[in-house]
Amino acid sequence: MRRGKPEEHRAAEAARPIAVLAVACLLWAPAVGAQQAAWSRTADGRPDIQGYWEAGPGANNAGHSLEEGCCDAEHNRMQNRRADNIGLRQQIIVEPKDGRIPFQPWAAAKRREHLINLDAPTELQHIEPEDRCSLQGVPRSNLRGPIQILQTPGQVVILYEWVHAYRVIPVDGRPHAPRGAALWQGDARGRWEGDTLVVETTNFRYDPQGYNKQPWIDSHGTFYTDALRVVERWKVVDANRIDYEATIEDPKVFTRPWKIAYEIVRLRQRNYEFLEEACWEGVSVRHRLDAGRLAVKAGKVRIHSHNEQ
Amino acid sequence: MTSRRRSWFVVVALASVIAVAAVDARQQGSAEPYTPPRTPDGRPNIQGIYNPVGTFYNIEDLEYQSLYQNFKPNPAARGRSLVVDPPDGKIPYQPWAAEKRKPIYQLHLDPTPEWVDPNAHCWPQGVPRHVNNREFEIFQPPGYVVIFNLAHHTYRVIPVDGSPHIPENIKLWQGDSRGRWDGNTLVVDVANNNDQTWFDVMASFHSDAMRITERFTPVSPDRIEYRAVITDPKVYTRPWTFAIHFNRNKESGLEVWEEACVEANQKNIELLKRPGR
Repeated sequence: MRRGKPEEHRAAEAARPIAVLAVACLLWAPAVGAQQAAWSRTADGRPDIQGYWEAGPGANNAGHSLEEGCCDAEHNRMQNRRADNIGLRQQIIVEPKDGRIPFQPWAAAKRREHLINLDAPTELQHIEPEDRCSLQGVPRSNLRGPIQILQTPGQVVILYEWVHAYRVIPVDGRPHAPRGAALWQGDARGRWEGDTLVVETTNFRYDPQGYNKQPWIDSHGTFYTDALRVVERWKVVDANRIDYEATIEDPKVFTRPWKIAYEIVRLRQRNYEFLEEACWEGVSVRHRLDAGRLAVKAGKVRIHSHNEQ
Repeated sequence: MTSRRRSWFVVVALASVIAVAAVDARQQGSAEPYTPPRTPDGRPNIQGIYNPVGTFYNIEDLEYQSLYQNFKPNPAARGRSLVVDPPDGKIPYQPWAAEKRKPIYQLHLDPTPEWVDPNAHCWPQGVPRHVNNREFEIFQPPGYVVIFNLAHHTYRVIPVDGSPHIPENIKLWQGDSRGRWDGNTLVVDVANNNDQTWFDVMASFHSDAMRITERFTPVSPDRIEYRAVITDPKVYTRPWTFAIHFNRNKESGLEVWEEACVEANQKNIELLKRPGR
């Protein structure tokens, strides 16, 4: 939510020549020249990464499919998106090198089922969890619009605009919650390794029957079990950039750990604030179920994909 | 949520007793005003996890909680109200509003869809109800006070940096909060409320003209007195004051996790649409 505070704009106008001068001086000073925009530190000496951030342009569309991005021409037309905004700008899955999720054979089959149901949903759980306004889990939450990071000495907190979710990450060395505590966002424990915030998240809730009454890692049905462990590394590069990576392992679903990586950048809009995305508000999916049932009845079932456009 | 999980939440929502207000606020007798510790930026530090001492059911009559959730009378709570002003403990509805609300006293146990508690839809609870329902955490990074609710897994950000309210035409479930410190008391002005939330199960409603001034006053290391002055010239004849207190939850290692009450929770409403209604 962007709003102007006129008095601040005026102050900013007046300060501009001074700022230009200051920047010029900085560039001129040889000792500073080698450094990138420095960041400030919190009272306890950690990088101060408070403020508003979002996934950089390189991660555009990755929230829909980590392998393929989004979307097709028809979708773009419906959503008022640029017609050529298709696919991924960069490879998001950096390990394995082929950029594909290393599903075990049974899991690949289950995922294929999700992709078929996605296009012609006949049950509520066929509709992707994000559209049902559930919590998005990790690492998906970080790919869904702006985030606000807040810090006190023992906690890093991430607020999300998407479904008005929050995530509390203790950074005080406490142990994980007991195995039995299964959570949509998982149980996160963080620590600072130099200027990198390392967050290990376990204790994810999952649906052992259909693997669809649970968060997915992307819209393309990438599911997990209670064996999921996500290790995120938020490496502070400069005041406006965090190199983010997340290693995802679940020996019940994947043949090996895999890793996503992209840049997170500071939001540049002035006076940005989160209001609320009231994604609780009786979101109706009935028409989508009706359409899905008609499609199944007519035998028009296909795998959800963006390739045929 | 699976439907089993969903009904579990309904059970919790209906059966959970937050805490019956059995503790008399006037038991506190210390003469010295309490001075809380400070945050690094010099503000009173009221961080921590708290439990409200209030009632979920009927803020104008605390016995309802026992009668309709524990199914036994509680004469000690009978007629006791969390409304401390006006002195009669009743929300000062304008006549039309009192008339509109009448059926809920007959229907609160088995409401028609129109009278279903907004909390049963898993909607954001709004102010002040979100601090009157289960554990919440107060978190104070520089420039903000943030409240994380366990119930409904909502967060509420209260800037305490002197920033102005958002434009009046934007209406929000939790309103737009702007805070300031008045000595050791956090004073929050809540504007931009929508008209969809209630204060309890009893259809205690308001309009989108509602404005709230909250005061969070720490009176001991483990207790915060809370008052909300509620103004709504469209619905009430005068401002009224809702008062509860919060006790610090000292359970070892307690963390606020999540109540995943976020989904389009239509099932409850469907269940009520039975033939003949």
